[in-house]
Amino acid sequence: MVKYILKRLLMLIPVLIGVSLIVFVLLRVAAPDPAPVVLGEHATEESMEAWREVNGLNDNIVKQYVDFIVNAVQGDFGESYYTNTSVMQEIGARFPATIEIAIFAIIVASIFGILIGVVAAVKKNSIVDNASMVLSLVGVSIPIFWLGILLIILFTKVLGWLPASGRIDVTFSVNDITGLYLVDTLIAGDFAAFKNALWHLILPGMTLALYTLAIISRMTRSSMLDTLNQDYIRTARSKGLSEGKVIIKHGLRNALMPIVTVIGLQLGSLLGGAVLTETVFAWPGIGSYTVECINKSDFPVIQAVVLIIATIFVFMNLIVDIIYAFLDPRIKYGRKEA
Amino acid sequence: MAKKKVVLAEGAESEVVIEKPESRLKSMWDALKKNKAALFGMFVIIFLIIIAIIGPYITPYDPYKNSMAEANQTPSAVHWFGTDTLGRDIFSRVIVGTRISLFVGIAAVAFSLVLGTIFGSIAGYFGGKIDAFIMRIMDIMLSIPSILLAVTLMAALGKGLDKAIIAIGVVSIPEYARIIRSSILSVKENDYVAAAKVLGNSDGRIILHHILPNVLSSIVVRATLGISTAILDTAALGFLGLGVQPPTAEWGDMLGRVRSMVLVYPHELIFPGLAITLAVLAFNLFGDGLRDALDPKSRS
Repeated sequence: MVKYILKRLLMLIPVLIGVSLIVFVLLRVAAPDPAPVVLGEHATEESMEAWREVNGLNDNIVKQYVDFIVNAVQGDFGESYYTNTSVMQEIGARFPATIEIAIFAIIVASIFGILIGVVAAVKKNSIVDNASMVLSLVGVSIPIFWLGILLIILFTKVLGWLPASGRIDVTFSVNDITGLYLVDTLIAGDFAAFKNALWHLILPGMTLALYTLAIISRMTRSSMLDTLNQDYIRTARSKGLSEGKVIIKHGLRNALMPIVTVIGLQLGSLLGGAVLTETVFAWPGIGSYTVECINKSDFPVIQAVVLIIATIFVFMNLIVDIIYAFLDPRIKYGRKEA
Repeated sequence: MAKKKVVLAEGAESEVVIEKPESRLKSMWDALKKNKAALFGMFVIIFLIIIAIIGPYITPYDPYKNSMAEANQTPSAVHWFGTDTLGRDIFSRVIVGTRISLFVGIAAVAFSLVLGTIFGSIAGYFGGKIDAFIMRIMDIMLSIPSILLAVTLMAALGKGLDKAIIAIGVVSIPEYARIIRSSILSVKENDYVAAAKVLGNSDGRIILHHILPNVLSSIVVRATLGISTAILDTAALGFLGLGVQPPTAEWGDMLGRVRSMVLVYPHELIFPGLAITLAVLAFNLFGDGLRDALDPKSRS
């Protein structure tokens, strides 16, 4: 097992080098010169030249890449072209907000996705099943940003129940410990702030969750249908076990593996979806920050964000594979997957 | 498509070559006819294509004409969907936007389909080191969430419709390459491929004439579903202000420009979003129907 994990870890290295190459070639070689954007239209040629020199953009391209990689490995992604603070600091300040919304979304999507999927499978062709079919179809067809807009119109404009933007009202102050407001406010014992933060989280969290929820519920349904047709389910029933016990203990537990895989793999697309969701809800995470930086050619930030998210994504895949191998003894560690 | 091969084959053989695709099409259509959701999707797609073609000639107002005196009107008999912040008729802009969304969607899929097919074919057919190299690059591309990759590509390429097509096309290349590769792997060992090889056909010819026609159905299904994703991505780039540039009427862009006004003028954000959802839904339903029609086993 250890050998398998080590081997998989080693295989990540070329992938991450590849990602860094793609990002570097795109933003340093293919992209237009950032100097006129950063310094403004009226900057003189001399000032732009000086700026490029300071930021190392005049160096040999191979040296630029080597510098980029060597520094990145040490967690140094350079400085933002605008604020001159380290990119890691900028990202670090915004990352918890994205993590908070992503975790919230994955929890909501998993709970409701599995619930809906199980009910749809058990009551196949019932109203619930058909409704779940429609829900998942809408879930994958509706643009995530438009869903966010609709939720804002309904819950903020019409009903006035929930706030439409930000993480917490300015009247509250949060002690940054974990950066996750729900956790930090609980640690501080400030329940009013906790409630306020939760209220802010609901709309963007639900928006981000729907697509994943749709995928999970479909997967749960088909996995449950497969499992419920197995002989051991009939055996369990004939032993006289209650229907609930049969479905949960014998059905769901055996159907769970592909579902867990999907949940793990969805985390990456959640981080991607955060780009749109955060923009709709003015959520101060790395998604909205990335869009902001693209509009002003702040390339060091974009390089770092893509590299960090790709790293998280491949590690999530690895963890899913390891859990899978751990749970399913039929998987041989040595064999390369097809 | 099949006509050229007739010369090569004997009389009886050539008939089979011509007949087969037709009967397959017919059985597919028979299966599709029974699927109401897929039919609905198909009719919506036909409707959207018609709108895309004649749209610019039937708009009640000039979609690009500013009229500050009429700005931000709610839907009425005069302006069915209301007017936007510059007083332009939203109904007219949604109609005109159909052409852009469909065009970008189809063009992006064509782009990734062609490149994905080339890479997938080479990888699957030749195998070995070339295969490992190409598929590793595809893995690398897949390890960046697609919207993030598209956004980064837009940062490198600059804004604009043509660049959006490339960006959206590039992010789907790995998906097509994988499908084509695995299809080719399963087809490659068949006797007719070996026969074609013995007859002295070139590799390119074998891929083009003997292998690809046999994996066509899975490509068509994937491409139909791919158009829905491409329309979504186009709208997303437009919404982020990275797609088409003003004043072009594009659904995502229309939403992005007024998003800060959502609490003041909600009506301006309803209809463009509805149009996106309808288009995406139609291609999803039709694509699912096609898949079921082609592969009865996948029907649940």
